[in-house]
Amino acid sequence: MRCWKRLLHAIMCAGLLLQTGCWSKVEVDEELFVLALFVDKGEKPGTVEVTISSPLPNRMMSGQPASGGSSGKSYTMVTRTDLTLPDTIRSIQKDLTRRINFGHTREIVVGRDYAKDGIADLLDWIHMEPSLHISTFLTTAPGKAKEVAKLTPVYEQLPSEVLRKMMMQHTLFSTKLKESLIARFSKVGYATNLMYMTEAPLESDDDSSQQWAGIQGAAVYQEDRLSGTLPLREARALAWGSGTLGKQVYTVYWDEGKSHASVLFTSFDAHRKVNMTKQGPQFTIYLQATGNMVNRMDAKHRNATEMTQLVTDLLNKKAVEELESAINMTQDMRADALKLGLLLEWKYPGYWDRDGRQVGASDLPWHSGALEHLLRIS
Amino acid sequence: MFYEFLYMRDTPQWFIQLLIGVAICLTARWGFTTLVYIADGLFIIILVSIIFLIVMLSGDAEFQMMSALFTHIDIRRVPYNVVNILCWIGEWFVFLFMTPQFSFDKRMLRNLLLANALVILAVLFTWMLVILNFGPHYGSQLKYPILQLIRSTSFTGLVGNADPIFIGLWITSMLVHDAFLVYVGVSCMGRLFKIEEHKPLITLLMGTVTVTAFQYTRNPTIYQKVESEPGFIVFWMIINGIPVYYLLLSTIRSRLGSRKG
Repeated sequence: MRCWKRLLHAIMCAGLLLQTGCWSKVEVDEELFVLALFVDKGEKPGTVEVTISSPLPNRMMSGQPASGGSSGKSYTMVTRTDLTLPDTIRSIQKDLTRRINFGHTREIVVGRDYAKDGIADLLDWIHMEPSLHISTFLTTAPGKAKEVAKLTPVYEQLPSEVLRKMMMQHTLFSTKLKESLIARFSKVGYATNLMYMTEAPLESDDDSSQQWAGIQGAAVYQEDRLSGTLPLREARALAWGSGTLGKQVYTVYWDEGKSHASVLFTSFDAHRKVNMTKQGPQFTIYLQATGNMVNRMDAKHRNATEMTQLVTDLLNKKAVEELESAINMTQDMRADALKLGLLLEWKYPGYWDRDGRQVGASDLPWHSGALEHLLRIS
Repeated sequence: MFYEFLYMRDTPQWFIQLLIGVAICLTARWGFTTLVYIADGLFIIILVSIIFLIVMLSGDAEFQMMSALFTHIDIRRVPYNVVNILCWIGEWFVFLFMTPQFSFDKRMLRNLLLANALVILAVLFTWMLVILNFGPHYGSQLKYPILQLIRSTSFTGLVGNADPIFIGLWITSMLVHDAFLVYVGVSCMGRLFKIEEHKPLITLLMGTVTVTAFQYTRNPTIYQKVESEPGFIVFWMIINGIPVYYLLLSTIRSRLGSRKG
């Protein structure tokens, strides 16, 4: 009798366990993995245009080039327009044979016009959509985001791979959705990479003209609206101040341009502090970098110690200049790209509640402080 | 509920609750000693995973926000917030219902103290990391902040993709926790109704609990109300404090008794 009882229990347990796949079985073949999302302003006012980029596994074979060729591209895009984002996604889904899966979305590109009006709807949808990771990268397109989707992947297989790996190079910014969500709710700003598209003949494709995408600067947001853009120099300084800058080369000139030296910085660091003075809050930004000299041309052939000192001083000046220019520009745009408002909120909440929020932390006085550079001459 | 929504959208609610209910029922039937052994074995795994999490997630945290912890203290709100949180974290109070069954010596008390200190530190550090990573404004909008914290680490890293593992660990510890609660409930019921056999009581209690959970999932708004309304919170606190009243009364009685005699 005992062993019958045990057998019965075992069968019941097995029955329960085996049923776990009955309802939520997900076949990989029935899913469409969206790798990148491109959001634009629709043609009619009040509408939004969404383009999804996804791979075509049936056309992907290892070792075959992806672009052009007789077998066709191994990725595709679908575009639809509707009043709201969820509606647009649904209208994309209804024309597809597979279920859309956002679990692998790595990259979201917003069009410039859409960003100017505010990406609050996009952020709200992302907040509610559970399968989207908030570590997805966010970039801004120079015009329509759909145009960026048309880039030709040369070194990679898919355009979304190109965008993702570009972000991971840490050239300027690698803004994640997490940052923009926090900025939206905490009422500060942030910056993303600003792409550019050119047509250029590529050697690898029979000299036919193809679309090439790159980074041209920074797009600065305040809360959820695009406030303006920064050119490369200032974008670099802002990225340094935010602590997201990767390897960079800085060149300095002296002796009326006859001598120059280039330093490759490998690590960047930035600290921000706030102090309350009688005139209001005073922000101090400390920048620090470590690098190696990679090139020098000295008209007067100074010795190494003198050179190091000279180059360090010149680099200090250059970094301060660039950061000052960047901050002036963001102040003109009324955007708090370095999140200095948060510092105020943490240290002086009374002031932030009374004055800071209306002013937006962008009109407040600041000064950029000490810089230290450590150079190793190689 | 959240596991089902995120990972198994098509599975009906009742099935998941049945699974969990059966699991807890079986765990509780094995007796208190077995429960302690299970917890003992899980302890190392959970401790290692908490340390791992804290180390991985403190990379992105804004440590300058810590000064805000001091500048934003509002003494008037402290009692209200403490009572709110106590209702959730104070479930450990039910241990007091079990104390008559054990004999306490110095070593046991010391171990209990260490265990409690460890739990306090672990919970404190985890929630500190949540607020340091997300900030109070965005963090308060998130329904499951720790889950988002784990998922927000980079795609290529180990932690970002491993969130099902952490959820699995969390569910295991939740099973032990719930089995313990059921065991306490059943011992009280046993003493109240003078029934010696615990096993049928366990099945009875678990059945009631599962059905209640199912009713709540059919009416999520009522569940939200129960979680947050002050009336309910005070109710749970009063129930949790029953052993303390007994202790107070017996102290008073013994004092009065010694005065008379």
